[in-house]
Amino acid sequence: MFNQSLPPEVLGPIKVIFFQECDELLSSLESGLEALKQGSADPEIVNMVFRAVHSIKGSAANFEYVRLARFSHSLEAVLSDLRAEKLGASAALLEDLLLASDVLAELVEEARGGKATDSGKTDEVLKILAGYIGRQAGEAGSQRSPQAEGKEGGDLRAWRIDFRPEASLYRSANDPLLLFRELSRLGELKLELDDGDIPGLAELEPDQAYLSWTGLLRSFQPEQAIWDVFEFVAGDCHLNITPSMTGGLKEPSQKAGHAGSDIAPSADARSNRVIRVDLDRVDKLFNLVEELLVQQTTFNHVAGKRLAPEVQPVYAEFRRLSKEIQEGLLAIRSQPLKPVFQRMARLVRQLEQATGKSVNFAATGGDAEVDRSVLERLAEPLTHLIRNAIDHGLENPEEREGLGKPASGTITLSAYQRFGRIVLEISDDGRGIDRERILSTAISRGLVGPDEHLSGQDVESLIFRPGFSTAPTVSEISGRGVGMDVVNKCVRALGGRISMNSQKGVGTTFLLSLPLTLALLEGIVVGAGGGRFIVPIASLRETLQLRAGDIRSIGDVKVIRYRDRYIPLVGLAAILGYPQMGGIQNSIGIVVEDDLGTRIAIAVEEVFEQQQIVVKEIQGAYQADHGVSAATVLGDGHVALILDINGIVERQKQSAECVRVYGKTSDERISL
Amino acid sequence: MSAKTILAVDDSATMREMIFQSLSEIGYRVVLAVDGVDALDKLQSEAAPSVIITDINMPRMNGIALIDRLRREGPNRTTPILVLSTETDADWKAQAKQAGATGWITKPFNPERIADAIRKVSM
Repeated sequence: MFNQSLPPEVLGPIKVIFFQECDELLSSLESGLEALKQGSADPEIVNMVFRAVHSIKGSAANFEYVRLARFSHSLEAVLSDLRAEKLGASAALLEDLLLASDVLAELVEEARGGKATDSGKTDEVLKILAGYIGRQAGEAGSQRSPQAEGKEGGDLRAWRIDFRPEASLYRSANDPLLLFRELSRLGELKLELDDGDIPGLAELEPDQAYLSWTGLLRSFQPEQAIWDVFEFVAGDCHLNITPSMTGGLKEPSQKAGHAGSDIAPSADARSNRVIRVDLDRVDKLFNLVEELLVQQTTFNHVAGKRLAPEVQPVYAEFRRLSKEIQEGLLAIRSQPLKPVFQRMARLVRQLEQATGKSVNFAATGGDAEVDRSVLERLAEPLTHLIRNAIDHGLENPEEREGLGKPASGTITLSAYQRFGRIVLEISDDGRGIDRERILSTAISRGLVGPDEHLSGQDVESLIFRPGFSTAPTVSEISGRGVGMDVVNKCVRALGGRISMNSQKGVGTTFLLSLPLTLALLEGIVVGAGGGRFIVPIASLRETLQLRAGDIRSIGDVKVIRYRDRYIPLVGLAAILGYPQMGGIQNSIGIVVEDDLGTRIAIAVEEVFEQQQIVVKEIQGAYQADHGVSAATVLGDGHVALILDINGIVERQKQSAECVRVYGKTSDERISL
Repeated sequence: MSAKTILAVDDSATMREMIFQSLSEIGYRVVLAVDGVDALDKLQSEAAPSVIITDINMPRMNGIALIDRLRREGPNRTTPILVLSTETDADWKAQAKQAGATGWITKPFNPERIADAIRKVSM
């Protein structure tokens, strides 16, 4: 109904907030249900779970997300009974609630404009929920309506209400009966009428008020909700509302001093310390700080060495503060991994259902924080990996039992920080990867020659190659074309590396190493063809002074000897289509390694300093085929292009001449 | 049971439309009047409303005067009257109460609050 009364320009921003809130609420719903499933009996968790659904329902109704509102209403009704202990927290109930929370998440996505939900599934879950509401005694369930429940969310408390209307209450067409009806919407109401003041008929004034009532209300509502019932008659009656300690009701469970708030004290205190900021504002500020740092570097470049001695410490302090501002802003943009982990937990449950496999899913390290630019793009590779693990990695329960493994498979997802990067580990205890099969597939796909000799690790890395998929049939879950090459591509696009460790029959572990942010990059500045370029430190192995005698040729390919192997040497200028200044001889060789561990040497003319650079994305298609991933502005104001080492190596590997080199360098040395 | 009738009195066409739309949608029959005088006319010709919702500031006869008139005599002495107004000073509330208003709804327009208030004051 909100929709009709508010113009879209007003409504839009409110919806954005609504969906942000939904994400948070879904997270707490899920973690709460998980905690209950693990056996927690903390009533505050039940409350939290209830509140989450309640809030979603309330807002959804405002925005006319009918399906979402209807579903959350049913779910709320069940949770309300769980909270009132009308329903026991059985394992079956919690399973159903988790299922319902998945549907709720889908409905939120649908409302957000995402994929339409499967209404058959929604209806089915609604039916399950209705079953729970129907199970309880009495008819309270049938009287539920979204409005009747109002703003629930506190603990069950008992209140004594002393109410004596004055004549003016009746004159303004208010009616005690209606007030009692409102009160009974808040909970369970017992009333006692006191008619002792009614005079004899002779003295009775029809316009006067003689009756008074004492009520006992058991309610989850905050005290304010009770006062609100009497909002219109505040000046027209004597009214007293006090906590009741008697009446055979459950004692208020809260500690003294906590006056019936509907939020737990800790949550309350915490929410006061959190502000919601539009991301665009943070990004804008971040860009400004980037500019500041560029200017500062420029300043340093131009005047740093000419500063008067007494100014230098001031300048040093200025630099230090700029750096701290930058780091502080990065911290603001950082977010914990937890929501992504929770999404994966949801995914696992959905896959369990779809595959009939039983999975224990454990996630640790969800508190680790990464920049939101990284976080946003993490879900895709993780989803692929977990799907693959369940679909292909884990055996069927019968198969597992036959192998002496527990019927339920285990998948663990863990995260930790190492060397300024975030490392994610995804392990399963499934069948592991069959190297023989990988190799035979790779040969049949023409990815390797039939007589090539590859090390075990090289074989494993084949699964990351485009066009490789070992699944003999395309299952519904992994979907067509979702091979490990897609995962690899996602991870590489994040500036990360992926590796795999697998033991046949024991399980598989994937290791993802990702930068904490995409906004900053450590790199060295090199010069070639009159331009400046950045080689990311993560890809750099070594720099070598090249001498003419170091360079050999295999056919048209130039190679250099590096750690007992020969690796191709290519001129950077040539790669990028810049004019080559002088020969490749007497230049500097930068040995780089792509994410698969393939090394090449890139010849450049100059190597400058190593520095932290601020990554600026390049608009348009320029970067795609040019071995460049992004750009930056250097201290002297020049633009430098950041090299896409993975892309460069990939292209070299694919060029016909190099195949010969790589085909043999893996395990055999080339004899020249 | 036939639909409850709500008489909504407001001089703003937009407000009348919004009240009409949102209350019709949830099942009420809505009769509209443009001011106090019109409201008295409608009360003559239409079925007795379950609830009257009125604006305060209106030409010809304002909301306070309308309430005062209805409370003094006639079949609507006991009809719940909700005041819907943008007036921010506390004064109007007191005046409306003094005149016999049952309750109030403060603008900005929130259809849900109107529905809630109607529920609170009517059977």
